Amino acid sequence: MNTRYSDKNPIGLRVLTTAGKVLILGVASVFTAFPFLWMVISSLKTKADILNTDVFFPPDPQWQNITGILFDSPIPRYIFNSAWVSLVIVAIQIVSGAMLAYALVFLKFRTRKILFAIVMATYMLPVAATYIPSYIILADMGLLDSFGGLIISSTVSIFGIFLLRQAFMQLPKGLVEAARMDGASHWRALWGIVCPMTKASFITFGLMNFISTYNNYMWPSLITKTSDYFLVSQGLRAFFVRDGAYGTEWALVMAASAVVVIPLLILFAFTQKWFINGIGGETGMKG
Amino acid sequence: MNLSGTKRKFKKRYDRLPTVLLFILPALIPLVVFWIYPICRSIYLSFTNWDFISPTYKIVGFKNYLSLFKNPRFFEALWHTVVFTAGTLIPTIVLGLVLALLLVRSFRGSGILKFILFSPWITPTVAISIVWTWIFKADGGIANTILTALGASPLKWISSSDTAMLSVIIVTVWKSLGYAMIFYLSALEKVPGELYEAGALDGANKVQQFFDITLPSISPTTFFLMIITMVNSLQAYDQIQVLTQGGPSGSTRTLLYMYYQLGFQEFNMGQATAVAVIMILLTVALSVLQFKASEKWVHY
Amino acid sequence: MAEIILKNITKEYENGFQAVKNVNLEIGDNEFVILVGPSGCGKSTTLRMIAGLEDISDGDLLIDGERMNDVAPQNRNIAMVFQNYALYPHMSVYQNIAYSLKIQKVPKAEIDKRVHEVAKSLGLEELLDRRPGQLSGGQKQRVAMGRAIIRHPKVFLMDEPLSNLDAKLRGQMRVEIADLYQRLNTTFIYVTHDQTEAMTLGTRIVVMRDGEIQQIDSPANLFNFPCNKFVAGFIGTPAMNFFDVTCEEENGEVILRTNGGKIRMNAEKTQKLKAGGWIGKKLLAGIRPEHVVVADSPEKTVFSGKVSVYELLGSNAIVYSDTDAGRIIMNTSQLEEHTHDSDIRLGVMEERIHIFDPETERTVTN
Repeated sequence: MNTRYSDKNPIGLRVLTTAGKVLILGVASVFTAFPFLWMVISSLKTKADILNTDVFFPPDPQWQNITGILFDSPIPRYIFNSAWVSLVIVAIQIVSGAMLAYALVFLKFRTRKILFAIVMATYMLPVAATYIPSYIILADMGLLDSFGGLIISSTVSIFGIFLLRQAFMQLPKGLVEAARMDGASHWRALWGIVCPMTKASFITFGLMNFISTYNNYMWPSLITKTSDYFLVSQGLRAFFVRDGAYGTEWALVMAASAVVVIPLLILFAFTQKWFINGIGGETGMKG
Repeated sequence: MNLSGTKRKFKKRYDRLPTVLLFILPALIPLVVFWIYPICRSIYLSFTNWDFISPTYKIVGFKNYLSLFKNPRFFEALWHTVVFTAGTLIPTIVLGLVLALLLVRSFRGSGILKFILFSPWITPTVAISIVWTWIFKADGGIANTILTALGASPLKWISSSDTAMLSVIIVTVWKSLGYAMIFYLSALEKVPGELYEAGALDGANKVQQFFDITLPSISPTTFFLMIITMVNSLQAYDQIQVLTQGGPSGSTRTLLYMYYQLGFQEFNMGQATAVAVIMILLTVALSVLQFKASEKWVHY
Repeated sequence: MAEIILKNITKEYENGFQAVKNVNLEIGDNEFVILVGPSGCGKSTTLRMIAGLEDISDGDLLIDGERMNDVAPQNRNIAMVFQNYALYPHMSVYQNIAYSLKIQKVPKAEIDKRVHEVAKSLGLEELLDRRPGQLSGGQKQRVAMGRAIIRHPKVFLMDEPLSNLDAKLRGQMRVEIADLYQRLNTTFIYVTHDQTEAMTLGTRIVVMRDGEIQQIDSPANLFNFPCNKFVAGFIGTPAMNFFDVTCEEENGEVILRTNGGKIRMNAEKTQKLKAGGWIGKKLLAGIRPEHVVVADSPEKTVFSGKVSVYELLGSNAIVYSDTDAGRIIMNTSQLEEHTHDSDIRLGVMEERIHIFDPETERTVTN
């Protein structure tokens, strides 16, 4: 649609609105990007320069701050923990979530509506309200302070069930019936027909939950106490409090933050459209 | 005949059961064990005096709730939650909409702007809160350097009870702004172009079109974002833990942070779960309110 | 109550694509003009340029003698009914109809009076409090028309207004639009790809293709005297049969020879063919299915072949045959059944034959 009737403002007004637009967007993006830039700039400074407010850019970039974090600190270990634990969790969430969403949309059983109501009710509830009893359950199972405990307590994603249910409902009605008539089992229909047709939602589900599990802080920090099992947020915070010693080693703390944040920004740069489409598009815009 | 009919009906009703169970149990079991049961358990515990260590505890009725309602700290936390929620919600939604309006028609560089504005959302709150701690540092922090350069007097940011909440709000808005913007972008793209054409033919100018067509058309998104931001604000923990730990002198202690302190620092499980139940009730109330409001205001 | 003139109107997009090419059209007061053509022919773009929703790249648009190219849509005093109705989903039927008056700050009592008048004339009185989401397709269509009528526009524009309705409702709404036109006494410009709508509604039809006007004429003239092969094939269902012929002179008579027979030309056609120097040359002939008959004697046989499909439609039947001149369709009111694969010999009503230049596809004679 090439509608341009709106552009018949006088030239002066148009220049003014464009200037306003540029100004607002400029301020907003500087405000947003600045902490990242400042993190990187600070991470390259010496202990002396970083406290000197007259020095903006590091005169002599201290690359060893970064290499120190990369090769001689527990930070890479935390990143590795976060990455593989999140991968395992998301894989389980996708399989179990897709199956439940499939059942909610395509299988007919009498408690279907009640089941959906239960899932829906838990969606909004503050997850923190479950922490004390969940903590006790993990303690009873002997899974506190272990990767097993981290994984087993996060195997279901209500957000993901919603996302997939929404996508499944938009598929043509007869699709699964047709697959069943062709002799496919429900399992085959889900992974051979339904999943490829809703690939975008699966990717969005995977990425969003990977990021949120990877970044998760409160629950992992409650159930793990040994640094071997720290995920990245808890590890970074421990580094900040202990090794960074609150204000003496700011450059190292910023270097550690940069090492944590930059890979995520790069991942985001390549997967941006799945986040944006997923959030705006299918995340259930039901009021 | 009659018997076999009943039998067939019985068979028909239950022969799908194994399949159904197979498909729902992998998600349903963890959902029950780590969501539904704990919520019920929390409600139960809120009526006890359990202290986490002793093996026995008593049912004490509403005592935990009564002592909360007598405790000024609780109302302080409730008020901080309200301030934090309102302080996050309004700028996030208003600025998110403004940015989306400016970016909805793509131009050279609009993609990179969307990337920048959304990027805080995917970074760990802990990491960026650490960076903001450094920015907010009272002496030598860049925030104060900038304020001084602009001719304003420096602030004590997170180290003063006057500005700590403001600092936490700034960080939270910074992180959630792009998220709101993306929602609004997709909502704006979905408003049918024909509506604006019809509006133009009906004689509506740009401002009238915004208020009579755009705003009502995206109202479902506004309501959705309001509820999501409120729920997120109610659950905000990471940035508070890193920036202020609820301080100075309790000035950033929200209900959730109070719950954390009661439960995992003071081991007063009865009162902690009572706070949790109050948070659940608040969420339910918000959801009902949103549902009622959207029935009245949101139209498709 | 307006006269609209399009002078050399062209629409060119930034990528150089010309959607509308040098269109000239004069629409008189109280005319019901239909723009018809296949999708992508530029008919909607032309309408949208008249509405002011699309910039005019070149040429002049005059309404009542006044140049309108740069006048904003709301100041052209026109109303438009959109394909998807474009009703404001959050407003009631009443508010939808009243919106333009509200913008103009018409007093409330006056608005109320006019909305009820319009609602009454369209049978919408019961629905005024509903929202568009609660209406059926036909009701939405009426609301969209009500919103247009209430402004007493000089010109009524309609962009495929019936294409979202099912066949039965479409027929019903077509009659309502015809009725509305009779009552309102104003100029209508109506875009459609459906030639039945075009033939039944329009006082004049503009056939477009690839951004260019092919023919402007009354429905009857378009049907009987198409100016080229495209118009001949576009107007009429089932579509005209086309087949190759050779023009010959036999015993002092001009005839068209087909693979299986010959068609004699009357004096008028003979004269045109001779004047055009077509004797001895190849030509393209067309005959409408209504004008194909079963040949009752060998000398009247033009096509011979086998019946492929026989469709009985009630009062008439359509017979598809595969003949020595290709697929030939006959639309007949003689209902004896033709079974599949039976032999058939077909003739034509010779005076209804259309003849086209095979190169330019222009009409030689109708």
